[in-house]
Amino acid sequence: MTGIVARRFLWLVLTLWAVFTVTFFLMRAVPGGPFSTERKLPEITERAIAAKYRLDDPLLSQYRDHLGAALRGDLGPSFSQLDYRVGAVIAEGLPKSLLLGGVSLLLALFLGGMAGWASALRPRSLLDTFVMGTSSLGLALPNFVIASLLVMGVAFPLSAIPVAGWGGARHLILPSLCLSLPYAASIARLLRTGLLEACSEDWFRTARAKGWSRGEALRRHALRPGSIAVVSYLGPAAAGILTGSLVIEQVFAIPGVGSHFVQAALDRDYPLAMGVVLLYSLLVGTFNLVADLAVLAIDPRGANASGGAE
Amino acid sequence: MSGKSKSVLAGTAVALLALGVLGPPGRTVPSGTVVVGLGGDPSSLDPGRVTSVRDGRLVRALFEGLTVADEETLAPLPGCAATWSVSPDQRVWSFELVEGLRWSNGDLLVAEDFRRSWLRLLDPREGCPYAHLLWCIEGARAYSEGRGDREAVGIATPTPTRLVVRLETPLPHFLALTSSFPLVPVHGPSVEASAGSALTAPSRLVSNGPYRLVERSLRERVAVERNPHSHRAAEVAVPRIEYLATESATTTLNLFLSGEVHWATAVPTTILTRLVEDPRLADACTPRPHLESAFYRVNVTRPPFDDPRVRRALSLAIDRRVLCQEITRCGEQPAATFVPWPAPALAVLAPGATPPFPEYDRSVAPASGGARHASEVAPEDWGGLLHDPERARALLAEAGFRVPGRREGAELPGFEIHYSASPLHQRVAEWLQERWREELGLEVRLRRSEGKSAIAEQRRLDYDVSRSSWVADYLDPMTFLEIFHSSAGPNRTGWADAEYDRCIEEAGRKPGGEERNRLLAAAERILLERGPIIPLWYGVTTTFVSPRLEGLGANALDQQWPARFRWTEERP
Repeated sequence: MTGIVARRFLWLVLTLWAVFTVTFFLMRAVPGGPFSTERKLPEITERAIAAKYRLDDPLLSQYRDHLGAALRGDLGPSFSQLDYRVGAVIAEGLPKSLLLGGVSLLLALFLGGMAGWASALRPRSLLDTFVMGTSSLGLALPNFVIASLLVMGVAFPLSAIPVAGWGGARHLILPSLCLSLPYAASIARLLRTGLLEACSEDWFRTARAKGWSRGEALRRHALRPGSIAVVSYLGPAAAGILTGSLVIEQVFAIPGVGSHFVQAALDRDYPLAMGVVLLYSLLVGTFNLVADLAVLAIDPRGANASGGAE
Repeated sequence: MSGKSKSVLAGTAVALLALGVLGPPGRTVPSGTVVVGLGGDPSSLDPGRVTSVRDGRLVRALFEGLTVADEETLAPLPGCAATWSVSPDQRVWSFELVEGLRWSNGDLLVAEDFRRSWLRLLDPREGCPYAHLLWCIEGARAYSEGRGDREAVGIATPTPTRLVVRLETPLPHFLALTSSFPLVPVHGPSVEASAGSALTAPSRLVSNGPYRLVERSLRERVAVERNPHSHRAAEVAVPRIEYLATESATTTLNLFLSGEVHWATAVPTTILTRLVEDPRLADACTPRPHLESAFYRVNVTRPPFDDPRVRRALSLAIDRRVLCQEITRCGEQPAATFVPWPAPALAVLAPGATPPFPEYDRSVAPASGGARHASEVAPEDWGGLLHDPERARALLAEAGFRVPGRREGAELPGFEIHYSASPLHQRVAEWLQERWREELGLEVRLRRSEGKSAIAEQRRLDYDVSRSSWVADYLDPMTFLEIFHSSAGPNRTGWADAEYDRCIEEAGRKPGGEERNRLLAAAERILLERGPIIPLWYGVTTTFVSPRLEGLGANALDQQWPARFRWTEERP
């Protein structure tokens, strides 16, 4: 187990370095500089700004300096938020994104878990058809469409639910619902499939033969093997909820880090774009690692296979 | 369901509730607060570093310059300066500050604060984007370019309340410049202490305007409250203003419709035309003239656009009335000049309003040839002045190209319309593509570029015909015309005309008056007859304002002075 963690950690570090390098050169290869605007500044002012942010240094020397600073945890000043350093921008937004993502993930687990369980309990029933039909819809609809529908159908008629903004639990209702629905749909389908597969095993039929109800047998024998797929899905789901939140953050005006993801690139804010890309890479890597470890904890048989695959 | 399963489910539900309820701190907006949808975060709250209209809105709440602009006419009114005078040769300005001015922390504000702030703006190490606004001051440009001495800059403070400024040459709009946001004073000790990157904490931002900073949260809001130390504190009617950093214009509109935003400065352009026509929003949105000229640049370094007849033909083939009525549809008016809003065009949108440059009597170059004074054109004829497809075809034929209905001449090579990504720009480009194909038989392709890339491509002259617009920096026709001087940075067309340059340079040396206007009008005529532009329309301001919010002026730059806002609790 320790070996797996060490190897995965090493891969994560290498991945982050690769992401840093690719982002650094890609950003600078895009036409248009951070301070180029419709109003052309006098040459002298442009040179002074370039010198101030050391944009006039040779590219490789900039790369070396930025990599060194990043290793020390300093990503430099933001080029679009001139009063902030990148670390401060992320420190302000990340807790809000994590809160929204956390609530959404729990909501997805809760809704998806309930729906998947209910479907598996009575497969091919009316309820099952309804749940699977709804989940297909949830997967097919992009979350900004769900968001618009909810704003029109819920927020405008009910004045207690705000159309957008940040500032209280009620501001979390619509965005977390929008964010969680597609993931709840996936979780419901994965759980249902996992449970039904388990139902076809001999030990499940033995349990039923002993006189246990279907629900009791599912809970006692099928839940653990049937939920492995769900647990391994949670890693990418958690990362997806966080990266997917950039659309929802825009639509509901959530002051998280998601909105910087696109805006920093459009503004050619090299340091901020770098900060956000590294942050998301780190989160994706970490969530996947945690999910893999959780799967191993549920089903230790995978430890060797998983270790071999690395 | 067993106890274990129940506890898992219950645990998830409880965690959800706990996160939801205890998560973000609840907040209520204090009564009487005006909420403004700013359309995004300000790039900075340091007046020396900001450039955008959005930043300017906050600077005008937090700081006050020597003068403040009248909310209707933009004429300079006393601000920190109670009175001023100018020498007979129009080169030495003397400002007498209001007695007892104070910063928001209680420190005394003196003339030296202005001097130090302006020198900071000019400091070559600071790289302040608007430093060039002060290049009109003696010795300022040399200092700003690292060639001169700081002490040689012509700004003096003979007494603590007197600021004396010596200009290189007379500048008619110098007084108006003193109300622009980069020229407000900044509090020396706090700027030095912040080392240029920490004006984020409300406790550190010391300002001198009608409001002071009380909250700043990135991507969320900037909140300001009445500054008790301001000499205008008694005039300020709205105790608190919150500027929301909501970026999505659609979300801002939703917040406006639900009553949570009272002034939406950014509106969704894709559905704007429908919103403007919506009777429920009729009270909230009145398109007003904006000092903006929308046009296409033509790259004169690429044949066949090096021939002025080809450029003129492209311009004459367009019916701008149709463009404004069917494509832009928000009150924009057809442009037949580059300097926006001459009287006949203004009369259509805002009958009775005073044109932004009442003394500037420019001539237009109508399709029919010759020159006419703008003031002689009837409002109903204005839109069609530059529309004459027949003449456009004749010009192309004269230039040696084949046109529909003729067999002679060379085929005009196909070209590209270059535009930055936006639904409106896309629609306009498609419409022009169709017009040029129909009227002149031209093969036109479209090339869309993302915002900053589009600017970079324009600078490299990597385009044939490119979408552009220009908004006035100050209230003078020169703010438009100077950009096509052959040495001007924003020219970006490769066009150079010695006569045009001479008119602009000579006008720049005149203190004002008829002769200066005549030179500027001559320059504009050259620009229209053989210049590198295809004028399209004069812009409008479309913001949504709650009928309960009063005090917003109808000026041509949409500059608002928050100290004059009034809020009525009940809808009148």
